Amino acid sequence: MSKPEEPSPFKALDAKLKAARSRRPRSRRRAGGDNEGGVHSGIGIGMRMATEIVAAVGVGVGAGLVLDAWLGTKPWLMILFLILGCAAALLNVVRTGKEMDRQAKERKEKARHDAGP
Amino acid sequence: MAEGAQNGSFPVDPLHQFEIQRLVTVNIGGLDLSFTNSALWMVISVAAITGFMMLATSGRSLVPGRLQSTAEILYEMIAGMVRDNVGNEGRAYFPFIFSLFLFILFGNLLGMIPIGFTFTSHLVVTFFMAMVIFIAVTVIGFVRHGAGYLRLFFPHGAPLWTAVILVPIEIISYLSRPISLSMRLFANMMAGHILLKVFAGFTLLMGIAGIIPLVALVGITALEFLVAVLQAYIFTILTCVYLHDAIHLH
Repeated sequence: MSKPEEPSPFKALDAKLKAARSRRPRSRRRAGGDNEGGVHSGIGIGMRMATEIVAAVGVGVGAGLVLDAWLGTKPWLMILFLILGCAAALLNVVRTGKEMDRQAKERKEKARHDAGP
Repeated sequence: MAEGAQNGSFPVDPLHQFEIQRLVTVNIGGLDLSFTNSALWMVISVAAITGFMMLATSGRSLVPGRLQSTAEILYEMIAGMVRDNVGNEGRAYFPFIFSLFLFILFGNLLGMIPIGFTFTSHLVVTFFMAMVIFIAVTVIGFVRHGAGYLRLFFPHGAPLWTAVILVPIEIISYLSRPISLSMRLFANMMAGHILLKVFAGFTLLMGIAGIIPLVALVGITALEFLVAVLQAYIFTILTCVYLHDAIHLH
């Protein structure tokens, strides 16, 4: 029963979809995209950067303490590795920032590509 | 919970929800391998994932229904993520990454059920997952590039004498990956669930004015759902990024 009628519901659906798409204002679509980025930039980025810093400094201090206990150079390696850990934390933050930049750019490109045709 | 009420301080113990309870005590050679509530919820989430995927794909209709679309959206999202972040070589790792994403996602979301237990809110669990990924990525890197993988620890084109400073920094940065990866998921889940409990406590304490924290609680619950999905996504995408670094040395 449905066989001969098959194309028509799809066509109707297609027309409906097209109508809905054209009805949806473009500005709202963009606002939605921005909002998504807003969530990312809010809690997401903050937590990501914070954990990157804490983890790198933590690993640095931990490695320093372990090496100190092993080599018997009580505070010195810990201090050295604390500084190195801070440097690694900065490196991590810069890398994360670059990564997020790349993703944001890609998303923007994709959005433009989607909006084009 | 009862303890807090007795002290008259705070009606809810916000940390009670993270307590591990032994359901079936198993002791093998002095090793405590008890089946805990955490393990139970892991089993539940694996069962839920399996049931969901099997039910969703059982129809295999050309025009997907609601359930099948959900499964297809998840599949396509992770497939796209692997393609964009790892590249074509990443396809071999897709099953692992997809399972990882679903496991974390279901763990986070099942934890939002009031009687549920969030196993991702324990550092042991997230750290173990991160460690598996870290070791796997390191092994993949060494298998693909041999000793050349060590170039990862020295930026290309830097003067040789800077190696003294740069190599330890790069090694610390590399070692901090599993820690930041596990800590992010664990901290987000735990902080959110504590926040929910604390606000629930305020609601009980404040009587009629408790409606204010109750309203806030509605918002926080919505936020928690967002965080649950977002953290699963971030964990997965970072796994992809690390895999990319191992496959294509930068």
